[in-house]
Amino acid sequence: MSLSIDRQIEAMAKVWPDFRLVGRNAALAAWRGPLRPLLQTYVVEIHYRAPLVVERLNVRVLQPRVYVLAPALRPRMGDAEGMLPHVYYDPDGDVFLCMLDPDAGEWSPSDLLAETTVPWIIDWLAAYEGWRATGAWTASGRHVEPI
Amino acid sequence: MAWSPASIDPFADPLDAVLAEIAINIQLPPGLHAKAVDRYEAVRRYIERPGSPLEGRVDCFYPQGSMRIDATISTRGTDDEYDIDIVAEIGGRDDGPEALLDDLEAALVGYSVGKIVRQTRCITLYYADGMHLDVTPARRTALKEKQGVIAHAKKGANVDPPRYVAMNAFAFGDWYSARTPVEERFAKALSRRLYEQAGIPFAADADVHDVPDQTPLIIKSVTTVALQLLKRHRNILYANETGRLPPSILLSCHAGHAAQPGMGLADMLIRQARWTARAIDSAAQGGRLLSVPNPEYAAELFTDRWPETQSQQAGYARRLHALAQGLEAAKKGNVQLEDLQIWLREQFGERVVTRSVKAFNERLGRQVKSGQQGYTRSGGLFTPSASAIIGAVSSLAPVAARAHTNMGERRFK
Repeated sequence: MSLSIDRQIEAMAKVWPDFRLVGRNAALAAWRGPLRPLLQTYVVEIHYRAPLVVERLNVRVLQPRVYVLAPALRPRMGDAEGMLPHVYYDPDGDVFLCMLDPDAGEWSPSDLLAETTVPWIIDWLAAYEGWRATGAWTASGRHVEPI
Repeated sequence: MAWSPASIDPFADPLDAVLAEIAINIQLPPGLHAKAVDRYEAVRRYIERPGSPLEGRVDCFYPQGSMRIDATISTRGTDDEYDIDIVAEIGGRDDGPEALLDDLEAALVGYSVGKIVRQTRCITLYYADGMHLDVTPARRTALKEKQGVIAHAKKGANVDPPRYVAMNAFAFGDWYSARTPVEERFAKALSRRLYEQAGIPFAADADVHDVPDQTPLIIKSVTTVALQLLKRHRNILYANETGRLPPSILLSCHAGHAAQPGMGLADMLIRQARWTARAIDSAAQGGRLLSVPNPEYAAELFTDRWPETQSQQAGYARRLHALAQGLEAAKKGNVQLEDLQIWLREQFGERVVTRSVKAFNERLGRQVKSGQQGYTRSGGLFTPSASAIIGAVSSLAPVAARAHTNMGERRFK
């Protein structure tokens, strides 16, 4: 069963007190906070809308969107992983992280963002730094390729 | 209690973990460690053989310097050549320092090795695999265990007459060992990585004092690993210079004084760098050159050949302060792994650091993919050497690692 946005807000405040709720509109919420996976602190923002009970649960659409606000991610042109690995691009060209396989049952709206999204951002950022330093993405990863 | 990664695991703090990888990459590999022991025993047998000028005169034969305190690293200007220092205590008649070296040189004639070179204070045996064995002849002069002199005799040097120089490397080794006890968690974690890298199974569960002979704990204490990093830093600093460099024994002595079991690796490296830098600063302020005696034998000066000038010691102190400042900035500030790597390459050498950061990244990936990570409350990735530690650390965020697949589209421009 989907968790309410209030339940998500409560868990985020409890587990990640450094994250601030920076937006709230009905079932939509946004949090901003610092993470320091290795030796760099990043400011990230999470946008999420808790689905209605009657809504069809499409993880591809419902998954939280995570933006790295600062420092800016550093693309690398010509890299075999793409100029930034494991991200999606929204229509404005903004980059958000992709940290789950929507078809693999890894996440659903019944999961707490505090227990899934935030730790997965940490995993992603550490892998990103490793990729920038060595050229190798050593965490899990699969690219969505055009059919 | 404050969050203290170092007290929990040597790989808990990212900077400590990267430094640990560098230290593993500059170690005398386990196979060569065993070979060094075999070789110096073989050398002893050879110089004592019947008919040798030293037959019946070698009272004892023991490792000194880095080999004695398990702080061996690759030689200046190399990534895979190692100097091993041995003392041969010679008894019998005393014909002076030059004759002492003559006798040892003669005793080694015909020994099967790549090259034999007589130096001012020792005879160096060069092996084909890059190992150099420095055999220093010594004479006992006092009742105290192995207190004596070594020969200083430069062939054909009129301005540098032959003489004996006070020495008690053995007592210094004991002093250092007493001040740097085995730090079990650290020793096991790094030794395991060292053996893994060499492809040798490591008995991880063995008690520290009961490890099998084939897998001794070559890495024992944070102090000594920090010392090895400091020596590596010095080797890189002086890689293109031909003159004398700050002696290892000086750095070892300061490391022994600075020893404080329980500290993290980066903190200990900062402490040792500052220790020597401040000692130099203090001497310079008084218009003196740094002078460091053997704490077990004041007549032996570890600084008898370096520094020679004020500018020489000031230059080294400046670089030590810079190393400490850089590490402090990395600990407290914001630095990404790729930028840290660039800076570390300047400090510890390009190839070694590149290899070490790659190993660090591979380890992170392995642990994350197998769910062996935790998360600190400040959003840190916690990847200790043993995953069992995660459950025992109450200061972590109450979040369990969970498998997930990073997806996304690839764009190339």
